[in-house]
Amino acid sequence: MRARNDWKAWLYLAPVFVVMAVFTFYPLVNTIGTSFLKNYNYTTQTNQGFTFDNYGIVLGLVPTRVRDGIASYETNVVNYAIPNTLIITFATVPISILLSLAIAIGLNQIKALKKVFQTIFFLPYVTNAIAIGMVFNVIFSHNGVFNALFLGGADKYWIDSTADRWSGMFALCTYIIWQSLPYKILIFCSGLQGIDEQYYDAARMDSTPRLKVATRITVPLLSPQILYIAITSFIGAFKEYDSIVGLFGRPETTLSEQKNMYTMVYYIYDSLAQPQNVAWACAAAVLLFLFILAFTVLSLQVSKRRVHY
Amino acid sequence: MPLRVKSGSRRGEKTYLQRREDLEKRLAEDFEESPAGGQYRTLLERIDALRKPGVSSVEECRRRIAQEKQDHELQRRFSSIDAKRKKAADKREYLRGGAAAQAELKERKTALKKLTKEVEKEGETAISHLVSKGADPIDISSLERELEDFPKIRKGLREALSWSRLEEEKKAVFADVSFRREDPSLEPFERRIVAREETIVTEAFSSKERIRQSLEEILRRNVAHSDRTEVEALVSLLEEASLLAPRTKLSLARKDFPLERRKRREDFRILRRQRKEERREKLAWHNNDAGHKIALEQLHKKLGEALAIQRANREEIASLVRSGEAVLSSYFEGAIRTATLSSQGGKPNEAEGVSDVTGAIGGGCLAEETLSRVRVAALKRLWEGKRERLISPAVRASKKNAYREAERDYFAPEEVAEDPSLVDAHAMRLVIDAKKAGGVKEAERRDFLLHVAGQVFVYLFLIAFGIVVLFPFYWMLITSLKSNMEIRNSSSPAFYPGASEGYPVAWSNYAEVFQNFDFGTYLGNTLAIGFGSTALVLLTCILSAFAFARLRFKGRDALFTLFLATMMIPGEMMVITNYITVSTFGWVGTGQTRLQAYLAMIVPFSVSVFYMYLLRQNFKQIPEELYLAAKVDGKSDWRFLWDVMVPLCRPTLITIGILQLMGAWNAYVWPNLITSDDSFRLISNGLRNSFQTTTGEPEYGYQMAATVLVTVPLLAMFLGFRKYIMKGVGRAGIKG
Repeated sequence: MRARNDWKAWLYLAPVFVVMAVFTFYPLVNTIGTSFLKNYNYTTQTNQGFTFDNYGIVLGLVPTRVRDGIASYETNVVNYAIPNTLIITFATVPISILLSLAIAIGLNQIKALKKVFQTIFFLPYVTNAIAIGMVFNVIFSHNGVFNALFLGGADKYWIDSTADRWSGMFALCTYIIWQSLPYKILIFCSGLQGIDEQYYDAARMDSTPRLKVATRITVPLLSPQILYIAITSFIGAFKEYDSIVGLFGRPETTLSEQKNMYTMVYYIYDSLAQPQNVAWACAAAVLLFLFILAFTVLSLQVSKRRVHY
Repeated sequence: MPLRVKSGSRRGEKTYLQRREDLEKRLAEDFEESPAGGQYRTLLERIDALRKPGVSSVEECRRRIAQEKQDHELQRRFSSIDAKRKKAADKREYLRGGAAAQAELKERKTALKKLTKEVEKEGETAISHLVSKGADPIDISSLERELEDFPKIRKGLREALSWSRLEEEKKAVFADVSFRREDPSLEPFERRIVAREETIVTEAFSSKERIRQSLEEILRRNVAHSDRTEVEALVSLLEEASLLAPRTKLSLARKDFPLERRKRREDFRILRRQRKEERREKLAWHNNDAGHKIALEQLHKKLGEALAIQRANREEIASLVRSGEAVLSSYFEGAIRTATLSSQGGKPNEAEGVSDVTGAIGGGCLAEETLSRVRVAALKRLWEGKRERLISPAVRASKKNAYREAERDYFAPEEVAEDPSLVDAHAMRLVIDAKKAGGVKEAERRDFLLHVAGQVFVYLFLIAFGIVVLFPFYWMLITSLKSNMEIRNSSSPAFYPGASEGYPVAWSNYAEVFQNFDFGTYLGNTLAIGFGSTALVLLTCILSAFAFARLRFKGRDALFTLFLATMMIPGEMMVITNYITVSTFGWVGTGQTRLQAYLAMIVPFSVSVFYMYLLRQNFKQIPEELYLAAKVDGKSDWRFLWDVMVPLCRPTLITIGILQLMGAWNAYVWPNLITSDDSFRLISNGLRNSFQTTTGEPEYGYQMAATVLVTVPLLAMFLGFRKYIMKGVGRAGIKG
């Protein structure tokens, strides 16, 4: 019976298997391989053997080229891409998790208009990242509504012209938090619905204060969802790209500055545009993958003691 | 530490038990041998006895309610499948009935043909026989005698000769027909059939009449047998007469056949209606139905009773706890007093009452330790918990009292000033008394007020953030109605269109967008990619999810884990090589055709591990029994997949389709990377790259109008399929 079914099952799996082999497994191997090739050029498919230089170039340790004794370095990754990625990650993830947790707990405590609120809070999820990025561009424009509301109409540039890196980061993080709330709220809400009412009955009988209920019952019982959200949103934040394209349309706040809005992914896509830089993009992608892997393993380790399944 | 009583939750139980453990430990340390210890123990036992039945029956009821709901859901599914199966069986049976009628008709037809041939053959020999008999004048009796050897022809003669019966027969048949025609209960199609029957019978009788007349004529002429043509005419008349009855029967049967089919169809319709009704009843029975409803009602009632018992017990428990606390606290006091006195070296006056405690406490050093422990406990008890806070006036009052009493009776004023907590232990007892007296009602009222205040706070919080969430949408909408001049020149933005003077509402932005932004092309591309990739993803997902969920093969779990593991890998790892791969295929680069661009956008994303995982989970929920039943029915895996699994999992498939469509609508990076011609791009690409002035300044009004056009379909789709989308997205967060 077992043997007879085998070929049939593989027949069912054949389309998936072919596509996965060509577009998932092969690229994985190939990308790692390419990241070690010297002077790789994909249009001509040529290289000059094995090297670690690509990683060195990406990290600004090895000069991209030496001309007339003057070495030039790729500094954007070390100066902007990696720090920006980390800033985005550690600014947006905790804030958005706390906010969405608070909103989800709030949603769980009301009865009337619950559906309406849930729908409203889900709306940012079903939007086009580019389109709403452009809307935030308008909101943060120098005579826009953000300045009018919070800075009393000051003529501050957040996105372009005289905007510096930190202004740009502020606008970007605001947008990312706004955009990442709905998914988290939804997951937390569905997690909250799975918590047994009895815990709350017990707490009510004891007339436990609300804050204590939240910290002692809700959060521990929600810890699997919180872990899931933490991991996925860290990964998501590491891969931020669409939002920058939507908000800025280019990887810098001002044209004269260096690419101060770079992230790892932005660097990868930018490098991909030039055939001789593909190997660098591969090295950057492998680095990003290692970041994410290390981070996921770390958070799983930490969670072992903290998450109650 | 106040004793808290919790309902039967595991968590509550644990803390309650923990606290009890603490208390018991303390009891063992300090009061083991004292009467207080014994008293407290009995109290605890009584509390246990009261708690047990309430807790377990509440749990039992909850469990059974859940069980009932689950059973009911399963039953409903099974019954609907049963109904479908039964329906199909009925239809088959009926069709088989129709086929039988048809076969019978065919049989009759061949029989008639055979008979005709036989009659004709017999006629031939009859002719030669009659001719060879010579020129005898003919009369009926001799004709009959001569046709002795030809039974069929003779039968024809009889048939033709039965004049006397003819009229009667005709009358009877017509009476029957006309009676049936008058029947008011007849359906229109039945009436038509009766009419046709009538014509057939009429025709049959008129043929009979004609044959009779011709025969009569021939006989009257008294022809000689030697006249061959006359004989032939005679015999053919007789042949016809002998065949008349079967032919009429055949045509009546033929007429019956449509009747039969008609009737079957009609019957089937009635049956189907009945089944439908039955099913509706069944569904009603299982959906809002009496059984389930009654069961649930009863269970809920039981739950209510159990809760009531629990609640009733709770009050008793609370009072028991209170008295337990009172007992303990009075002993604490005793301990304090004794300890203080002994530490001061004085002789305890109340030594008789608390002698055992004193004994347990021992000397001065030990007294210090106990004192501090008692003090901490008393303080904690006093200030912990909401209830104590709520009745703080009572606390204050009783504290004042306690101070006064303490000053008067137990402690020197300097002592109290030095260590106020000495009083607190006493104050606590007064607090307990005050609570007993009237604090509870007040506490309840405050509880209610606090609840209302909490709800108001929650709503305000949600509304505030709701506004934050909605604001960008609003701003997009109103900016799309402002002219570029207004946006660029006004220093403070207007909060609704047409608010600032001199700048009217700029509907023209939309006209501009439709003129300069190639909305139609982008939309067409996006929809083509969306539907193409959705169809492919659904197909691959269904096939592979089925293989992973139902089929057994070597390495299934390992392969599935491998697939799942790929979800962890960032897509950027693949994008680079995929870009090179599709260019190797010739789908990217100069001279790219529309088909190539579409292929490059669809094929690399025609598999989604996540959706496959979702669908597999759903497939796995379908009971194994169904699969086995289908196997018994002789269904192949393939048919089972498409006839049973796919229809049952339609909601998930719809979810996947919608999410995939949304993905295509939002795709930016990949299409931007691989398309060389602007007219192949998707809507996001078009949006970002358009509406800049020649100096690179964005033209916000136009941009926002285009953004509205991109966002509105998405939002409309979301509102239309809210349930599917939120369920699909939320499913990811549920473990398992």
